[in-house]
Amino acid sequence: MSNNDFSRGAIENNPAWAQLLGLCPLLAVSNSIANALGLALASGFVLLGANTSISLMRKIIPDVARLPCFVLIIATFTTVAVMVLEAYAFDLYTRIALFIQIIVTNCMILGRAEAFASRQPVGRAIVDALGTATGFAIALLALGAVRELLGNGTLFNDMELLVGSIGADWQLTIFTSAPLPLAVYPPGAFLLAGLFFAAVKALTATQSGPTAKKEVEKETGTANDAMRKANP
Amino acid sequence: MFKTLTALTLIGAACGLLLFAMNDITRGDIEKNRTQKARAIMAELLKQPLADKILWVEDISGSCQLGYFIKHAENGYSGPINFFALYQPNLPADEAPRGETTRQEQLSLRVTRHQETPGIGDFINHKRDSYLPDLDQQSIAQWQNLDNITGATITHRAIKKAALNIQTRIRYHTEKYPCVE
Repeated sequence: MSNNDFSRGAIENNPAWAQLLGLCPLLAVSNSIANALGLALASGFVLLGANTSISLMRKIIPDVARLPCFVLIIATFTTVAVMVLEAYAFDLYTRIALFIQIIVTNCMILGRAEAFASRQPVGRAIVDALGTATGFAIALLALGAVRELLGNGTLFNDMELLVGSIGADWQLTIFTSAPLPLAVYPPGAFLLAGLFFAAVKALTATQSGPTAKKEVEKETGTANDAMRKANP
Repeated sequence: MFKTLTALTLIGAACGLLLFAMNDITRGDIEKNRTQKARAIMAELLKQPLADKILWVEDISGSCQLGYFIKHAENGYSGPINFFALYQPNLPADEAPRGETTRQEQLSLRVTRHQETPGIGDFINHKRDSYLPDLDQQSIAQWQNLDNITGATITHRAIKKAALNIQTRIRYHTEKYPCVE
């Protein structure tokens, strides 16, 4: 059950390419691996904290005021993430601060709180949070790596902002001049994200093609039968 | 009703407690980082090394010979904009620093906090764009001739207003603490 929760959040219902949630920070911050990893860690922390707390408190959260409660809890963990980043990764914070602050409005986190954490025990809520956070991180890092490579010709640039002086040596220069400078700008983000999502969609469609087709046929047949019975 | 209120109070208290604890843990490091950032901006504006200890009175520091550093906030389009400025007032010949003749007022501005989208409206960030550094050491009148600009928070009106208000605050400050060489 737990493995299913994890893989469903990370791959099948991936917040980025399957549900198209959290696209604003995804597109804005994924111009380098360092920025993408910073946002992925912060989002993952908030998601994990919010899912765990909401699941723990699910029996005392009043149903009529559940959404304000979820937002309050998510905002608390977002503020904690902001404080930690500002205290211990200040240079990175100054670069992605705005997008860390708006994690509170990320539909991915509120969606998991409403659809899963508020109805499931804490263990499953944690696994779901880890899966969803991993899925979001995969999308962010994949897009970040491609954009940094095409836009700057490097990989792992500025990692010292995240991991300290040890990360200064991690930079790999693949191209001496950037092959596609547009990649680090917002239009490049839209183009590459579109291609990335299309590639994932094509890949998953190929893998699940025949089964999916059978399921659709079966569902269509059942629906047609029901229609015939209703309107003989 | 009572049950709902109790639950909401408990949840609010738990969130408040967590924030209070985190604030206590991170406050020192955040303050240190902000001070370092402010000192870097001050050294850049002044173009010379700073003294180890800087005394602030009502968010203003400095002297009429050296110039005044001032922390200032102005309302922008959709939120506050925080400025850090170096204002060097008019100085007649007898008050000018040794070796200098009279000095016209000069204002240099840096924006330390805004809500602009990175990559779109962050021309106002002096680390990413030379827009503000190019306007360094202009008089208040020159700042009033700023071209129209607008972003999520940044507007030319806010910058013009900031320049005027900074001048007013410094005048009030120098009246209270007269210029002494």
